[in-house]
Amino acid sequence: MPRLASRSTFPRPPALVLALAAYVLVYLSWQALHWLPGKQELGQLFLIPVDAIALWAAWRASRRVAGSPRLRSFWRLFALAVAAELAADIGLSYNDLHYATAPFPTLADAFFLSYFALLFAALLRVPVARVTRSRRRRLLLDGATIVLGGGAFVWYFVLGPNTVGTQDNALATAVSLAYPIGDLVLLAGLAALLLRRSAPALHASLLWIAAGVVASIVADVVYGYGVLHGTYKGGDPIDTLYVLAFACFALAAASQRPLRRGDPEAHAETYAQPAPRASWLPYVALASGFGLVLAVDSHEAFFPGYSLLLIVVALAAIVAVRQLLAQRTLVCVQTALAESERRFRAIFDNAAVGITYTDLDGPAILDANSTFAEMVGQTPEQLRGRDYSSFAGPEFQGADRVLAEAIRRGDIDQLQQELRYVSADGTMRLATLTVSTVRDADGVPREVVGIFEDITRRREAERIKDELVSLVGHELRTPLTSIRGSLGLLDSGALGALTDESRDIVGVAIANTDRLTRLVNDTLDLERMQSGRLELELAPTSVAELAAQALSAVRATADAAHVELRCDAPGLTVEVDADRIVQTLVNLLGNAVKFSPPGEHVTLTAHEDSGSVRFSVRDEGRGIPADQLESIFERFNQVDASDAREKGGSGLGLAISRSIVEHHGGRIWAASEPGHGATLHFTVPLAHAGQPAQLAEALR
Amino acid sequence: MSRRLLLVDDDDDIRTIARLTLERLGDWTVSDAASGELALDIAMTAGPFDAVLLDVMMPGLDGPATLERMRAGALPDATPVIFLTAKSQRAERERLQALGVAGTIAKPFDPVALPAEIDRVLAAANHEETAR
Repeated sequence: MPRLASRSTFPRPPALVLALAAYVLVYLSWQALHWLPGKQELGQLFLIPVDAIALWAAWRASRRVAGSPRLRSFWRLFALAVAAELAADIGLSYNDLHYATAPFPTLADAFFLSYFALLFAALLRVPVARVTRSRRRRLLLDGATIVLGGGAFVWYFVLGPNTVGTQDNALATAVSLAYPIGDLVLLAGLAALLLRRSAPALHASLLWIAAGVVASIVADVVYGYGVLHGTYKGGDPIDTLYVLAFACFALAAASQRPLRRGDPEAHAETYAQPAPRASWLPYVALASGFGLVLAVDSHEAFFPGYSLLLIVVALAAIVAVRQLLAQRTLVCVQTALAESERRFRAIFDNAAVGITYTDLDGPAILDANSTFAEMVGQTPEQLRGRDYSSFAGPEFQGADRVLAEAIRRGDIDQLQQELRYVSADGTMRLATLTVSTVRDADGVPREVVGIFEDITRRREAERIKDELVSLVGHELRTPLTSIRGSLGLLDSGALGALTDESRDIVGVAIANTDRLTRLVNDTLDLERMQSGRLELELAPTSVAELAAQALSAVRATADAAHVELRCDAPGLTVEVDADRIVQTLVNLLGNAVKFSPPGEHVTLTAHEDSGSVRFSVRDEGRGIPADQLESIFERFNQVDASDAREKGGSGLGLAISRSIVEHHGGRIWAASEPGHGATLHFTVPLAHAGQPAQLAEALR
Repeated sequence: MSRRLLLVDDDDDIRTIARLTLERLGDWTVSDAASGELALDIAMTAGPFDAVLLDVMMPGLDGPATLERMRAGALPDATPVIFLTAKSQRAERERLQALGVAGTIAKPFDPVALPAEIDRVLAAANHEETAR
């Protein structure tokens, strides 16, 4: 962009406006005062400078939009059209200066006609947004209205009289007809452009071009009328309109700002704003068409009044069809809307969960479905205008206001919250409330959808399940203690020496009892954590102390497996439940030792990681396949199903570790390259780092 | 001369195992009681004891309640009491410790290691006593 800007020596639009205005003033003063002799001969000459300025401006514009090939070809065609006009004006000036009565048609007329063709071709190159089929039909009808309405004038003043044939030869007749037809074609092209959504980069230029085209069409009509009646002479005041038209074209080109490649402004499709509001154009055309008929009719109905009447009838028919189409579209839209509303109602009313719409200002309920109404023992009508606080438990009082404020500020978009509510029979029940923001077209939060789900029974079922697990667990533990104790006594030899075989068998019994005990303990542990009954005893704890405790717990196992333990724990302090983190470390270290071949080592490291401490346990074992890096943290999920038997794990260790870490607000994950060992990482918060305040907590 | 220990637990099997262990692997003579109420009787009639091993969770009088009654007269203040508890959480252990016992031993315990564990708790309590 800077390269383009520095190269652009084009005068700023105000300077160009001043120059053009000065030229127009000079021209008008000449029109008024005739300070040069030979008005008829020189009239056409005055058009040449303004044509040249417009040509120059258009050419510069085409250089400035190099980034958009389509816009560049638009400006090049536009420049060619202006060049054709320039050539035609030079030709006409030559004719005016050399002949007393200018011949018709001449080469200049060929240039004039190619101006129409080139300008129309240029208009076709303007990038416009794609439109739907029904919209395209309406565009066509609107375009037809404009062409017919505007055409009525051209027909009445120029075309009609010409068709009767005042010219002697056919070529002259054809050429004189070609001018008004060219104007009509231009008018149609322009109307189609103005009624559609065009590339925003061209908006200013298009308006100037429209002004120029309208000025030149009016000038053409008057000129055609003058020629027809033999009253036109070169340098007539009507030529001022041509000067103005090309001044507009120059300004159009000057308003084109530079465009880089890929600039979204060059594409109509990427522009979200509505089309330029030119929808009044068809009505103006319609009014002028009727106006003309009335004007003509109020004098005497003279030639070619009947053709005018035909135009007006056609106009009326087009407008009627257009209105019918618009009406049909409206009906379609209404039907679709009603259908959508019916579908929404069916979902809303038949949902198994309670749904409410709440306005943010009250916050008051705008609408509630029957499920919700039944939950709180009201009718949907009774609920309108009420707020949540009127049926929520005491701990929720006022929270809806806080929530509404937070949503309005844009702090939250969605939130799930448990709350107690007074149910239809007057008892307190438990529900989850999920609120989501509904925004208007401008993205401003307006309403809130609340989804209520009664979870009292589910929670009760969960509680019963938890109690059952807990009960079974404890009932299993007591006999296991006795079995383990008895076996231990036998094994100790305190009750009499055992034979080698007996000792082996007792050893098998002890190993399996230990495994069963671990399974029961881990199940109870996990159940306690997942039911949310785990209460962490958070305290600032030294990382080195945690590491030392964990290492000493697994040292005997590691020694037996001939695995070396290494540790690098710096002087950091974390805010944790020490027993639980040691338990996690022991789980990870125990796993690492289990899966390490003899002679290898297991490394425990800890380091600070953005407000947390990250513990990492690395082994040199067989590693973890990539597709199991996540699933190893699920219950009873071991990399190899035979591990449970061989390695004697409960299959719950990593699930418990994850639960512990997540209760601390941390994260646990595994990284591994199969065959080259695995590293398990987890994070826990540093002692001084503040916990992020949860809104749900604040609301509680 | 072996030391005398009063073992209080409602689980018959646990009592059998603990008694066997303490007598065969340790140098204890064990009297046992199946409830807090029985334990109070035995403490009154068969004392004195060198240590009491007291289960926390029992029907009727639980561990802490039994301890309170014992301290109220059935047992000399100097007799060390050790709680047997299935609750391993630190807060729970600290709560029990605060009731004025020599220490706690977690259940389920390894019977073979029980005599050594009792000695360790008693030694620690003794050390603390001396230090005070």
